[in-house]
Amino acid sequence: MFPAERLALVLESTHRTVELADRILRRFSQKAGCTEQQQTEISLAVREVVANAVFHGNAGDATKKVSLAAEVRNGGIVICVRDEGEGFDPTSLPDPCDPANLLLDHGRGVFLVKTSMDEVTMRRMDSSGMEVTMVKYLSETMR
Amino acid sequence: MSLKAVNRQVDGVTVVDLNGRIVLGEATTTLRELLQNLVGQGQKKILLNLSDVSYIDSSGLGALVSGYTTLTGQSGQLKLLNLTKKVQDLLQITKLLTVFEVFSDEATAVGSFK
Repeated sequence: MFPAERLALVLESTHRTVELADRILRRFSQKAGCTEQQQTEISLAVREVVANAVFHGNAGDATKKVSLAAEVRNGGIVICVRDEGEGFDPTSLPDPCDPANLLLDHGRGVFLVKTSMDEVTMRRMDSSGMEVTMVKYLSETMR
Repeated sequence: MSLKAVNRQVDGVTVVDLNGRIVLGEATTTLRELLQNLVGQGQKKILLNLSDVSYIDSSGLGALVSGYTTLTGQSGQLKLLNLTKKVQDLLQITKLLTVFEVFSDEATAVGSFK
């Protein structure tokens, strides 16, 4: 175990970034003391958010970057992902659990992020792009 | 880790043993192509054995749902066998357990196909 740490990276808008972000945050959460289940939940959320940033936010534009930051703060891991795309209204997303949407082969990413993490905030930035901030508390009593 | 798939025939049912993670990229492409090829070969009773699938993301769920709709659209059936707890939980929270028939015993699963 090591004391609170933080990381900040700027990544390319490529498929490899999804795998890279997953690996980095898995290691980070492991060192921060997360359980195996917490690591899996963080891994899933990070994959979904970074994939959205790369493929939807930045639309795979190689000139646009994905910013990834993480730190241990107030008993939890706080992860922030930003893209440089147009942004979107997160309240406009259809409910993937609605019976009418169950047979769609897309649209579950944000839902999985929200169910995997303890807190999720999404906001369209004034400049450009979306910022997603997610928290996973290390102890259940912090929730 | 890439997704590995091995097919075998059991009483007219194609059982596909999957091994790895079904995640965005090569793995989901592999699964989608595999199911399309099986349907193209006229195999419409497909049982996916997920006992060695450790992880599925939203893209992987999409590939499973796509396979399900493709099969049912052609009077076929796609069913799931031996979910790990992680995958079971994922299908539970996404309500996909209401879509897929899921089994924990291969003989029972094979026998359920019409």
